[in-house]
Amino acid sequence: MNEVGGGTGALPRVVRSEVPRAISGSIAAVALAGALYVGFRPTGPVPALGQLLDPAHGVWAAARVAELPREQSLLLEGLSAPVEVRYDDRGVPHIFARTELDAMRALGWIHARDRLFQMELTVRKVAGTLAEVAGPELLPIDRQARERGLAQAAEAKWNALPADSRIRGVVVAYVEGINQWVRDAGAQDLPVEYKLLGASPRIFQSQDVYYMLAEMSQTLAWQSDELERGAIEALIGEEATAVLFPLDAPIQEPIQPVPGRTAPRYATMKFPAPRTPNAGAVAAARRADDTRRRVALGPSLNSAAGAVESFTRGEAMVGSNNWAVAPERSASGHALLSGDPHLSLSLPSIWYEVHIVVPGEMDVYGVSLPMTPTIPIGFNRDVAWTATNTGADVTDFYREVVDDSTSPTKYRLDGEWRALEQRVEVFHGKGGVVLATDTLRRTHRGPLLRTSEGWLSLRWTALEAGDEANAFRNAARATTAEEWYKAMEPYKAPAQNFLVADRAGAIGIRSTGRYPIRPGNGRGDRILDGSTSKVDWLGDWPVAKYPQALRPAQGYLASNNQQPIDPAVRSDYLGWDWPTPWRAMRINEILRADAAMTPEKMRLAHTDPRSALTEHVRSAVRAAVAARGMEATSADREALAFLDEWDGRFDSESKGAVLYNAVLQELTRRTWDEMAPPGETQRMATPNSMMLVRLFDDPTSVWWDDRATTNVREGRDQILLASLHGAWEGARSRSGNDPRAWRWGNERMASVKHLLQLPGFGRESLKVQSGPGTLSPNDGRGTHGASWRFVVELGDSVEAWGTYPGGQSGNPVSSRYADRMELWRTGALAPLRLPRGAADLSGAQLRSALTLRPIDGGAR
Amino acid sequence: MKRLPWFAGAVVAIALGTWVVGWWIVPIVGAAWGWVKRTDPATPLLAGVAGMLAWAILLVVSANGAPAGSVSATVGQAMRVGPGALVALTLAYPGLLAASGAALARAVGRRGR
Repeated sequence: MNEVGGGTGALPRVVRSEVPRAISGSIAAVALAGALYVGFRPTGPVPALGQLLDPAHGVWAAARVAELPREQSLLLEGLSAPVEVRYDDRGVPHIFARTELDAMRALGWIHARDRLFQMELTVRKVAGTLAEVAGPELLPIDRQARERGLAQAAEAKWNALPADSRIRGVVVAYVEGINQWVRDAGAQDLPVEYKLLGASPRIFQSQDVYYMLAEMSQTLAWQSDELERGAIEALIGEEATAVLFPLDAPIQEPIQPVPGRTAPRYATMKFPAPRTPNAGAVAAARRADDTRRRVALGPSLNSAAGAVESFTRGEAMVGSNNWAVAPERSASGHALLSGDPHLSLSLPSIWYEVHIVVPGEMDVYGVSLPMTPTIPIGFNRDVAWTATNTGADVTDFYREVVDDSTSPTKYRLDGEWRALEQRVEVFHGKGGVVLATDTLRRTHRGPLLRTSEGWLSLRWTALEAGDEANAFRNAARATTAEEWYKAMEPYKAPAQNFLVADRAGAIGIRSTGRYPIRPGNGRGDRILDGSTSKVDWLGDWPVAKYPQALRPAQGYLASNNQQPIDPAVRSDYLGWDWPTPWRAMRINEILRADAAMTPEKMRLAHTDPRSALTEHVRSAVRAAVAARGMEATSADREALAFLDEWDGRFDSESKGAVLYNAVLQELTRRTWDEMAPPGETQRMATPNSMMLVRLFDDPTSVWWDDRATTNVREGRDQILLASLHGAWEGARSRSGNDPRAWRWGNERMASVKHLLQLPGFGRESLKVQSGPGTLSPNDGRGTHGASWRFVVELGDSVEAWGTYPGGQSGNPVSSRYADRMELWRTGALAPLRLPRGAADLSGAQLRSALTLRPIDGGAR
Repeated sequence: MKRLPWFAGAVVAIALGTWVVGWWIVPIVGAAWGWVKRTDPATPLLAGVAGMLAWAILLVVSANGAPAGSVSATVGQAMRVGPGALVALTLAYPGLLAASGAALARAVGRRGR
């Protein structure tokens, strides 16, 4: 075809033909190489495109596996007999098995199908290996996790279980169920997060179950308050710190009822003047604050830094509630129990609702934690239980004397040098690349942490022996409140206010957990001298000493994270700087006033729109305007009238709540200006609103003085008036000049982010009914809230209602991913289905039927 | 019209191949077509279109009544691209793989003659 030669001045035809062919071939080669490269390899933050975009196996497959098949029958290795699983119309699996081990194997498989990525993330968070799947940005969280040593503690708990213990068999069966799902899963079945990260699921180990339980301790029982106390003391002095951040709450509405008391107790208070810090004190405060920030940084994937920045003692980061009424105070004559644990909100939700039936052995319904075969909150046919966090001081820090300030090998104890335990930790990123290497050290007390204040060792109950999984397993079989508490005696951490009601009409509460007995004054609110063993823990509180009540004469019980026992009754140290009592006061007010409670009234209380704090603040403002009438402007009077018109309800249509909240913020800012170093506005800590209310009783306290003004010393009423003025102006500036157009719902929203904060995977700007000090509090960021609300009526048969923010599926395109969000947002509850057998669910109540069959027909 | 059977065959091969073995079958099918029909200058273009069509069919099948639109919206947002962009990328990618595979094979085949 090609000819040689050709006319002068023109390329030979062969050359003319070959050049474009070569060029087009080269272009094709480059294009193909590029397409294959981005197909096989991640490019920066973009995962490998081939696997990602593949419509059969990549992200698009999420749609194919989003919904449960109507019917499904599968083989599951290790079963002794078929297990029937019926998903009801709310997506709750009801597991019917002949043995407990079969039920737990099925539960593992079910958890993996719906929540595998969440489970992997939790385990990796505790193990300190997040960077391996999510990249080097998470290395600081990994480093902190390994430094704290929860993974080693979890493994020690697992290894301590007797080889023939029942719980060991349960855990092994559960994890095998998870792993069978992982092994059988094709690429199309895997959660979409794996595809976006370019990662593959791990094969889980039995001890991973204990990692999850350790994670709950990290969430609920990690306290480094003494580090914060050091910063505050350096800034305002020891005496003022002791009053503003006290051992005992100055308003008492305790968990353990005080016989005969029908109202909160207000302790008298005197507020000492703050020390005026010199440069040395400010530098010391900064050092202590730096230590606090480094050590206290919660290893949360949801904006860890944010949690530290906004640290406000006892105010908004907690909000759990529970309450129960005895038969004599319910309309039906049956015991009622309500649970309302608040946690960091996330999608998928922390909880997974499940019902497990093993005839003759267990019939338990509740919320499980994916990665554990337990039901920490729930009920069976006789007993219901729930929890709030106790918040006891179960961590201590010790200042250690070491042989080398940069790389210590020994620490001083009782005049002798002791060798530090050391281990080298290697941190990997994606693809196994080494990101960092740390040498971690331990004293006999626990992990040794390097801080700007020197080397501190940590002792924490969560790092020591405990048998929480077994306790939950046994408690689920209880038939009375007494049996339930007996089963929970081995439970150590995190300490929880466990509320129980039973069908016989008993209600009880016990702040259950391990509380250390400390030498000396028994307190653990300061960094201790680590050079002597005389400061070491002497033992644990006996169960009889735990805060508790069973069948109280008042006929109701409630806990809301408040100080468990009134120190006027018993003053043993359990912790300090307790959360505000507003929620406790409100629910006690509701329960005292109503001797005919119903499940509907219990439900309404979850999102009750009133706060016990409100009238304290509003009446103080009202009195201030009256007292300083000459100074009040017409705008101030207009603002007060607007505040007075408000009905005190924090509902989304409320207008007055906007102004009230602005007043509270102004008041807090103006009152606690001494909590910031001189010349600065960023406070190192903020006393909680209980202190503010008590300070109202001291109109001339030096704390009212505004440091920014010279030659004038402001008093309470001036600050209150100025706060009202500033709030009114600020609210008009932010929300518009017409206060009739203000809406509280536009200011206070919930934000439920995805675990990795992936945009599009969360649900944000949710209008919820909450306010400062309400039973459903919200600190303004909306990242914490009710993680599971439920009500149980323990009559001849058990009836229950519940919901949580999110849905059962972890697949963001599933109809079950966030289907409960609207119900949760509005405070509604869905009736929970309690079939006794697989055949009891049918028709519209049945969403999916799954049969898991033994591979060998169940011969084993 | 003579190209139609080849085109249809390529669509089926790419779709089935992707379903059974994975995305990387796309350039292989493209290259095979480009090699066999190397005298036809339209082969790379047709291979590209076949790749796009095959994955478009798979998208429909994959969705199977489930919320594929929700995938594009949700995942597109997570990847910080619009939902339309995710769909476009998903269709363009096999087009590029198949077309470049076919073009390269065709160029190599014609050079070898």
